[in-house]
Amino acid sequence: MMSAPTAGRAARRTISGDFVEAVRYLEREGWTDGLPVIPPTEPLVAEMLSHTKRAPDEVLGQMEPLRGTVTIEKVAANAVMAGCLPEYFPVVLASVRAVLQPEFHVGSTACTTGGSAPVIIVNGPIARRLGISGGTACFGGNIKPNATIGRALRLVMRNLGGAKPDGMEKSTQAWPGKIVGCCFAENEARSPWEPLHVARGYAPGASTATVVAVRGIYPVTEGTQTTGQGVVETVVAAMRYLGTPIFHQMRNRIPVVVALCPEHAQEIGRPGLGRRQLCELLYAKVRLPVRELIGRVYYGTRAWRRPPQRMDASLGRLPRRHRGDRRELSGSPFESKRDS
Amino acid sequence: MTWGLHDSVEIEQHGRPTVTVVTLAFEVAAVARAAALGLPDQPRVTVAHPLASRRRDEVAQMATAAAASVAAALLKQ
Repeated sequence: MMSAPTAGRAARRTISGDFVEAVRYLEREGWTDGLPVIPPTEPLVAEMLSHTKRAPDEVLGQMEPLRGTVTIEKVAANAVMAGCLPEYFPVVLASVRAVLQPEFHVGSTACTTGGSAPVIIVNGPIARRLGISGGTACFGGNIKPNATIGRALRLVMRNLGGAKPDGMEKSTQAWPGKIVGCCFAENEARSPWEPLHVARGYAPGASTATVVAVRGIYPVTEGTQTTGQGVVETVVAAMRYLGTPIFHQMRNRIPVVVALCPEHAQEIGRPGLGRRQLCELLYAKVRLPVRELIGRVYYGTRAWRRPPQRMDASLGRLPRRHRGDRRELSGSPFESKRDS
Repeated sequence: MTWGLHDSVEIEQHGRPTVTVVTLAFEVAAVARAAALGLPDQPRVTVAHPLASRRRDEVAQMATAAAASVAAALLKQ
Protein backbone atom coordinates (compact mmCIF):
# COMPACT_ATOMS: atom_id res chain seq x y z
CA MET A 1 0.00 0.00 0.00
CA MET A 2 1.31 3.40 -0.81
CA SER A 3 0.29 6.95 -0.07
CA ALA A 4 1.49 9.69 -2.37
CA PRO A 5 3.74 12.37 -0.96
CA THR A 6 2.30 15.82 -0.55
CA ALA A 7 4.31 19.00 -0.43
CA GLY A 8 6.94 18.43 2.22
CA ARG A 9 5.46 15.12 3.39
CA ALA A 10 7.18 11.85 2.61
CA ALA A 11 5.25 8.96 1.05
CA ARG A 12 4.03 6.22 3.39
CA ARG A 13 4.29 2.56 2.46
CA THR A 14 2.80 -0.44 4.15
CA ILE A 15 5.03 -3.49 4.11
CA SER A 16 3.80 -6.92 5.14
CA GLY A 17 6.18 -9.37 6.74
CA ASP A 18 8.66 -9.38 9.54
CA PHE A 19 11.63 -7.13 10.34
CA VAL A 20 14.01 -8.87 7.95
CA GLU A 21 11.52 -8.70 5.11
CA ALA A 22 11.09 -4.99 5.75
CA VAL A 23 14.85 -4.47 5.63
CA ARG A 24 15.09 -6.43 2.39
CA TYR A 25 12.26 -4.37 0.92
CA LEU A 26 14.23 -1.19 1.67
CA GLU A 27 17.32 -2.75 0.09
CA ARG A 28 15.41 -3.69 -3.08
CA GLU A 29 14.16 -0.12 -3.34
CA GLY A 30 17.78 1.03 -3.36
CA TRP A 31 17.48 3.01 -0.14
CA THR A 32 20.31 1.43 1.84
CA ASP A 33 24.11 1.54 1.71
CA GLY A 34 24.43 -2.24 1.65
CA LEU A 35 24.33 -2.63 5.42
CA PRO A 36 21.09 -3.46 7.26
CA VAL A 37 19.00 -0.48 8.30
CA ILE A 38 16.27 0.06 10.86
CA PRO A 39 12.95 0.43 9.00
CA PRO A 40 11.78 4.02 9.52
CA THR A 41 8.34 3.36 10.96
CA GLU A 42 6.10 6.31 11.76
CA PRO A 43 6.57 6.00 15.57
CA LEU A 44 10.38 5.88 15.25
CA VAL A 45 10.42 8.87 12.88
CA ALA A 46 8.09 10.77 15.22
CA GLU A 47 10.43 10.06 18.13
CA MET A 48 13.35 11.40 16.08
CA LEU A 49 11.32 14.50 15.19
CA SER A 50 10.59 15.15 18.86
CA HIS A 51 14.21 16.31 19.21
CA THR A 52 13.78 19.33 16.95
CA LYS A 53 11.48 22.33 17.08
CA ARG A 54 11.39 22.47 13.29
CA ALA A 55 8.24 21.39 11.46
CA PRO A 56 8.49 18.01 9.69
CA ASP A 57 7.54 19.52 6.34
CA GLU A 58 10.09 22.34 6.49
CA VAL A 59 12.22 22.26 3.36
CA LEU A 60 15.95 22.62 4.01
CA GLY A 61 16.91 22.64 0.34
CA GLN A 62 17.59 20.37 -2.60
CA MET A 63 20.23 17.68 -2.39
CA GLU A 64 22.54 17.62 -5.39
CA PRO A 65 23.23 16.01 -7.79
CA LEU A 66 19.66 14.88 -8.60
CA ARG A 67 18.02 17.52 -6.43
CA GLY A 68 15.76 15.61 -4.12
CA THR A 69 13.80 17.82 -1.74
CA VAL A 70 15.29 17.69 1.74
CA THR A 71 12.67 17.98 4.48
CA ILE A 72 13.10 17.59 8.22
CA GLU A 73 10.93 14.47 8.09
CA LYS A 74 13.02 12.82 5.35
CA VAL A 75 16.21 13.54 7.28
CA ALA A 76 14.60 11.98 10.36
CA ALA A 77 13.65 8.85 8.38
CA ASN A 78 17.23 8.45 7.18
CA ALA A 79 18.56 9.05 10.70
CA VAL A 80 16.32 6.23 11.96
CA MET A 81 17.57 3.98 9.16
CA ALA A 82 21.19 4.79 10.07
CA GLY A 83 20.58 3.67 13.66
CA CYS A 84 20.73 7.09 15.31
CA LEU A 85 19.23 7.57 18.75
CA PRO A 86 16.65 10.39 18.71
CA GLU A 87 18.88 12.67 20.75
CA TYR A 88 21.48 12.59 17.97
CA PHE A 89 19.05 14.32 15.60
CA PRO A 90 20.22 17.92 16.17
CA VAL A 91 23.75 16.92 15.08
CA VAL A 92 22.40 15.12 12.01
CA LEU A 93 20.32 18.17 11.11
CA ALA A 94 23.25 20.55 11.58
CA SER A 95 25.41 18.33 9.36
CA VAL A 96 22.77 18.19 6.62
CA ARG A 97 22.33 21.96 6.76
CA ALA A 98 26.11 22.34 6.53
CA VAL A 99 26.44 20.29 3.33
CA LEU A 100 23.48 22.11 1.76
CA GLN A 101 25.41 25.38 1.85
CA PRO A 102 26.38 26.13 -1.76
CA GLU A 103 30.09 26.48 -0.99
CA PHE A 104 30.23 22.86 0.17
CA HIS A 105 29.41 21.62 -3.36
CA VAL A 106 27.66 18.53 -2.09
CA GLY A 107 26.90 17.28 -5.62
CA SER A 108 30.57 17.34 -6.51
CA THR A 109 31.45 15.70 -3.20
CA ALA A 110 29.00 12.90 -3.91
CA CYS A 111 29.97 12.28 -7.55
CA THR A 112 33.63 13.16 -7.97
CA THR A 113 35.98 10.52 -9.33
CA GLY A 114 38.19 11.54 -6.40
CA GLY A 115 35.93 9.58 -4.08
CA SER A 116 35.32 12.03 -1.26
CA ALA A 117 33.04 11.59 1.73
CA PRO A 118 31.92 14.01 4.42
CA VAL A 119 33.74 14.22 7.72
CA ILE A 120 31.77 15.75 10.60
CA ILE A 121 33.72 17.39 13.43
CA VAL A 122 31.50 18.07 16.45
CA ASN A 123 32.35 20.72 19.03
CA GLY A 124 30.77 22.07 22.20
CA PRO A 125 28.67 20.66 25.03
CA ILE A 126 26.55 18.42 22.78
CA ALA A 127 29.56 16.26 21.96
CA ARG A 128 30.05 15.44 25.63
CA ARG A 129 26.33 15.01 26.27
CA LEU A 130 25.88 12.53 23.41
CA GLY A 131 29.15 10.72 23.98
CA ILE A 132 30.57 11.54 20.55
CA SER A 133 34.12 10.34 20.85
CA GLY A 134 37.28 12.30 20.19
CA GLY A 135 39.45 9.77 21.92
CA THR A 136 40.68 6.23 21.43
CA ALA A 137 39.73 4.83 18.02
CA CYS A 138 37.40 7.76 17.34
CA PHE A 139 37.58 7.26 13.56
CA GLY A 140 36.72 3.60 13.61
CA GLY A 141 36.04 2.24 17.03
CA ASN A 142 32.44 1.11 16.70
CA ILE A 143 31.27 4.05 18.78
CA LYS A 144 27.54 4.44 18.26
CA PRO A 145 27.09 8.21 17.80
CA ASN A 146 30.27 8.48 15.70
CA ALA A 147 29.14 5.65 13.42
CA THR A 148 25.44 6.43 13.11
CA ILE A 149 25.57 10.24 12.74
CA GLY A 150 28.09 9.92 9.91
CA ARG A 151 26.00 7.18 8.31
CA ALA A 152 22.84 9.28 8.60
CA LEU A 153 24.43 12.11 6.63
CA ARG A 154 25.64 9.66 3.99
CA LEU A 155 22.17 8.10 3.68
CA VAL A 156 20.60 11.56 3.30
CA MET A 157 23.12 12.42 0.58
CA ARG A 158 22.61 9.05 -1.13
CA ASN A 159 18.83 8.74 -0.90
CA LEU A 160 17.86 12.37 -1.44
CA GLY A 161 20.76 13.38 -3.70
CA GLY A 162 20.66 10.24 -5.81
CA ALA A 163 24.40 9.57 -6.04
CA LYS A 164 24.45 5.77 -6.28
CA PRO A 165 27.08 3.54 -7.86
CA ASP A 166 24.90 2.55 -10.83
CA GLY A 167 24.33 6.19 -11.75
CA MET A 168 25.76 9.46 -10.51
CA GLU A 169 28.32 8.03 -8.07
CA LYS A 170 31.59 8.12 -10.01
CA SER A 171 34.30 7.57 -7.42
CA THR A 172 37.22 5.77 -9.02
CA GLN A 173 37.61 3.73 -5.84
CA ALA A 174 36.26 5.76 -2.89
CA TRP A 175 36.93 4.82 0.74
CA PRO A 176 34.84 3.29 3.55
CA GLY A 177 33.83 6.79 4.66
CA LYS A 178 31.44 6.66 1.72
CA ILE A 179 29.39 4.13 3.70
CA VAL A 180 29.29 5.42 7.23
CA GLY A 181 30.78 8.83 6.69
CA CYS A 182 33.07 9.91 9.48
CA CYS A 183 31.98 11.73 12.61
CA PHE A 184 34.05 12.55 15.65
CA ALA A 185 34.38 15.19 18.34
CA GLU A 186 37.35 17.43 18.87
CA ASN A 187 39.01 16.41 22.14
CA GLU A 188 38.61 19.85 23.67
CA ALA A 189 39.57 18.77 27.19
CA ARG A 190 43.03 17.61 26.10
CA SER A 191 43.73 20.21 23.41
CA PRO A 192 46.31 22.93 24.04
CA TRP A 193 44.34 25.24 21.77
CA GLU A 194 40.99 26.97 21.65
CA PRO A 195 38.37 24.62 20.15
CA LEU A 196 37.82 24.56 16.40
CA HIS A 197 34.40 26.22 16.64
CA VAL A 198 35.82 29.07 18.74
CA ALA A 199 38.62 29.55 16.20
CA ARG A 200 35.89 29.77 13.57
CA GLY A 201 34.03 32.49 15.45
CA TYR A 202 31.46 30.65 17.57
CA ALA A 203 30.97 31.11 21.31
CA PRO A 204 32.71 28.57 23.56
CA GLY A 205 29.35 27.37 24.85
CA ALA A 206 27.91 26.82 21.38
CA SER A 207 27.60 23.35 19.88
CA THR A 208 28.59 23.05 16.23
CA ALA A 209 29.10 20.55 13.43
CA THR A 210 31.86 21.34 10.92
CA VAL A 211 31.72 19.26 7.74
CA VAL A 212 34.64 18.77 5.35
CA ALA A 213 34.82 16.65 2.20
CA VAL A 214 37.69 14.21 2.63
CA ARG A 215 39.22 11.65 0.29
CA GLY A 216 40.51 9.27 2.88
CA ILE A 217 42.40 8.93 6.11
CA TYR A 218 46.20 8.95 5.96
CA PRO A 219 47.71 7.76 9.23
CA VAL A 220 51.02 9.34 10.27
CA THR A 221 53.02 7.48 12.87
CA GLU A 222 55.61 9.33 14.93
CA GLY A 223 56.96 7.72 18.08
CA THR A 224 60.58 8.82 18.00
CA GLN A 225 60.67 12.60 17.99
CA THR A 226 60.73 14.20 21.41
CA THR A 227 59.76 17.74 20.45
CA GLY A 228 56.74 19.31 18.84
CA GLN A 229 58.90 20.60 16.03
CA GLY A 230 60.02 17.07 15.26
CA VAL A 231 56.43 15.90 15.13
CA VAL A 232 55.48 18.74 12.80
CA GLU A 233 58.40 17.87 10.51
CA THR A 234 57.14 14.29 10.26
CA VAL A 235 53.60 15.48 9.54
CA VAL A 236 54.94 17.83 6.86
CA ALA A 237 56.98 15.04 5.28
CA ALA A 238 53.91 12.79 5.17
CA MET A 239 51.78 15.52 3.62
CA ARG A 240 54.34 16.27 0.91
CA TYR A 241 54.15 12.89 -0.80
CA LEU A 242 53.43 12.79 -4.51
CA GLY A 243 50.00 11.43 -5.28
CA THR A 244 48.18 12.62 -2.18
CA PRO A 245 45.14 14.70 -3.10
CA ILE A 246 46.29 17.62 -0.97
CA PHE A 247 47.55 19.79 -3.82
CA HIS A 248 44.39 19.35 -5.82
CA GLN A 249 42.19 19.98 -2.78
CA MET A 250 43.94 23.21 -1.96
CA ARG A 251 43.51 24.42 -5.52
CA ASN A 252 39.77 23.92 -5.06
CA ARG A 253 39.83 25.61 -1.64
CA ILE A 254 38.92 22.38 0.15
CA PRO A 255 40.47 22.29 3.61
CA VAL A 256 42.78 19.52 4.65
CA VAL A 257 42.00 18.12 8.10
CA VAL A 258 45.02 17.40 10.29
CA ALA A 259 43.92 15.48 13.39
CA LEU A 260 46.60 15.24 16.06
CA CYS A 261 46.54 12.88 19.03
CA PRO A 262 46.50 14.77 22.34
CA GLU A 263 50.11 13.94 23.20
CA HIS A 264 51.43 15.32 19.92
CA ALA A 265 49.14 18.35 20.09
CA GLN A 266 50.44 19.18 23.56
CA GLU A 267 54.08 18.80 22.46
CA ILE A 268 53.45 21.07 19.50
CA GLY A 269 51.55 23.63 21.57
CA ARG A 270 54.02 23.66 24.46
CA PRO A 271 56.37 26.32 23.00
CA GLY A 272 53.37 28.64 22.64
CA LEU A 273 52.53 27.76 19.08
CA GLY A 274 48.88 28.57 18.41
CA ARG A 275 46.39 26.70 16.25
CA ARG A 276 46.52 29.31 13.52
CA GLN A 277 50.31 29.48 13.62
CA LEU A 278 50.48 25.72 13.17
CA CYS A 279 48.13 25.92 10.17
CA GLU A 280 50.27 28.66 8.64
CA LEU A 281 53.41 26.65 9.28
CA LEU A 282 51.95 23.60 7.52
CA TYR A 283 50.73 25.76 4.64
CA ALA A 284 54.20 27.20 4.21
CA LYS A 285 56.01 23.87 4.45
CA VAL A 286 53.78 21.37 2.65
CA ARG A 287 55.09 22.14 -0.82
CA LEU A 288 56.72 20.26 -3.65
CA PRO A 289 59.08 21.71 -6.24
CA VAL A 290 57.40 21.89 -9.63
CA ARG A 291 60.21 19.76 -11.10
CA GLU A 292 58.85 16.81 -9.09
CA LEU A 293 55.34 17.39 -10.38
CA ILE A 294 56.01 17.84 -14.09
CA GLY A 295 53.99 15.29 -15.98
CA ARG A 296 52.70 13.69 -12.79
CA VAL A 297 49.77 13.71 -10.45
CA TYR A 298 47.84 16.98 -10.81
CA TYR A 299 50.28 18.73 -13.10
CA GLY A 300 47.69 18.84 -15.87
CA THR A 301 45.12 20.46 -13.63
CA ARG A 302 47.40 23.37 -12.74
CA ALA A 303 47.37 22.92 -9.00
CA TRP A 304 49.22 26.16 -8.42
CA ARG A 305 48.07 29.71 -8.28
CA ARG A 306 49.92 30.99 -11.33
CA PRO A 307 50.23 29.14 -14.62
CA PRO A 308 53.79 27.98 -15.26
CA GLN A 309 53.99 28.94 -18.97
CA ARG A 310 57.40 30.43 -18.51
CA MET A 311 58.80 27.50 -16.63
CA ASP A 312 62.02 26.08 -17.94
CA ALA A 313 61.04 22.44 -18.27
CA SER A 314 64.61 21.27 -18.75
CA LEU A 315 65.57 22.64 -15.37
CA GLY A 316 62.18 22.15 -13.79
CA ARG A 317 62.46 25.52 -12.12
CA LEU A 318 60.06 28.37 -12.09
CA PRO A 319 61.29 31.79 -13.19
CA ARG A 320 62.28 33.99 -10.29
CA ARG A 321 58.99 35.87 -10.07
CA HIS A 322 57.12 32.60 -9.37
CA ARG A 323 59.33 31.54 -6.51
CA GLY A 324 57.49 33.40 -3.78
CA ASP A 325 56.02 30.16 -2.48
CA ARG A 326 59.37 28.52 -1.84
CA ARG A 327 59.85 29.87 1.64
CA GLU A 328 61.76 27.73 4.05
CA LEU A 329 61.12 27.14 7.73
CA SER A 330 63.18 30.15 8.79
CA GLY A 331 61.05 32.70 10.52
CA SER A 332 58.57 30.05 11.63
CA PRO A 333 57.03 30.41 15.08
CA PHE A 334 59.07 27.42 16.22
CA GLU A 335 62.38 28.98 15.37
CA SER A 336 61.57 32.39 16.66
CA LYS A 337 60.42 30.82 19.92
CA ARG A 338 63.56 28.74 20.16
CA ASP A 339 65.77 31.72 19.40
CA SER A 340 64.19 33.95 22.01
CA MET B 1 31.98 16.09 -15.92
CA THR B 2 29.60 17.92 -13.60
CA TRP B 3 30.91 21.38 -14.33
CA GLY B 4 30.92 20.78 -18.07
CA LEU B 5 27.24 19.88 -17.83
CA HIS B 6 26.51 22.95 -15.73
CA ASP B 7 28.19 25.15 -18.33
CA SER B 8 26.28 23.54 -21.20
CA VAL B 9 22.91 23.90 -19.47
CA GLU B 10 23.62 27.53 -18.63
CA ILE B 11 24.68 28.33 -22.18
CA GLU B 12 21.58 26.55 -23.54
CA GLN B 13 19.42 28.59 -21.18
CA HIS B 14 20.91 31.70 -22.78
CA GLY B 15 19.69 30.46 -26.14
CA ARG B 16 23.01 29.22 -27.51
CA PRO B 17 23.13 25.68 -28.86
CA THR B 18 25.63 23.33 -27.23
CA VAL B 19 26.82 19.77 -27.57
CA THR B 20 28.25 18.05 -24.51
CA VAL B 21 30.90 15.41 -25.17
CA VAL B 22 31.06 12.69 -22.51
CA THR B 23 32.98 9.45 -22.27
CA LEU B 24 31.05 6.21 -22.08
CA ALA B 25 31.65 5.70 -18.36
CA PHE B 26 29.89 8.98 -17.62
CA GLU B 27 26.96 8.65 -20.01
CA VAL B 28 24.37 7.41 -17.49
CA ALA B 29 25.39 10.08 -15.01
CA ALA B 30 25.31 12.78 -17.70
CA VAL B 31 21.75 11.86 -18.68
CA ALA B 32 20.53 11.89 -15.07
CA ARG B 33 22.33 15.08 -14.18
CA ALA B 34 21.14 16.97 -17.26
CA ALA B 35 17.55 16.02 -16.43
CA ALA B 36 18.03 17.22 -12.85
CA LEU B 37 19.38 20.51 -14.19
CA GLY B 38 16.24 20.95 -16.31
CA LEU B 39 17.58 19.94 -19.72
CA PRO B 40 16.56 16.30 -20.25
CA ASP B 41 17.14 16.47 -24.02
CA GLN B 42 20.60 17.94 -23.75
CA PRO B 43 22.46 17.33 -27.04
CA ARG B 44 25.21 14.84 -26.26
CA VAL B 45 27.95 12.94 -28.06
CA THR B 46 29.47 9.94 -26.33
CA VAL B 47 33.08 8.93 -26.99
CA ALA B 48 35.23 6.08 -25.70
CA HIS B 49 36.50 5.95 -22.13
CA PRO B 50 39.01 6.87 -20.71
CA LEU B 51 40.58 10.12 -21.83
CA ALA B 52 43.03 10.90 -19.03
CA SER B 53 45.53 8.15 -19.84
CA ARG B 54 45.58 8.66 -23.63
CA ARG B 55 48.34 10.47 -25.49
CA ARG B 56 47.63 13.87 -26.92
CA ASP B 57 47.66 12.55 -30.52
CA GLU B 58 45.20 9.78 -29.60
CA VAL B 59 42.82 12.33 -28.10
CA ALA B 60 43.20 14.47 -31.23
CA GLN B 61 42.24 11.45 -33.35
CA MET B 62 39.18 10.85 -31.17
CA ALA B 63 38.20 14.50 -31.52
CA THR B 64 38.53 14.32 -35.30
CA ALA B 65 36.41 11.19 -35.38
CA ALA B 66 33.72 12.80 -33.19
CA ALA B 67 33.68 16.14 -35.02
CA ALA B 68 31.03 15.12 -37.56
CA SER B 69 28.71 13.90 -34.79
CA VAL B 70 29.18 17.12 -32.86
CA ALA B 71 28.46 19.20 -35.96
CA ALA B 72 25.38 17.12 -36.77
CA ALA B 73 24.06 17.50 -33.23
CA LEU B 74 24.59 21.26 -33.38
CA LEU B 75 22.93 21.62 -36.77
CA LYS B 76 19.92 19.58 -35.69
CA GLN B 77 18.96 22.22 -33.10
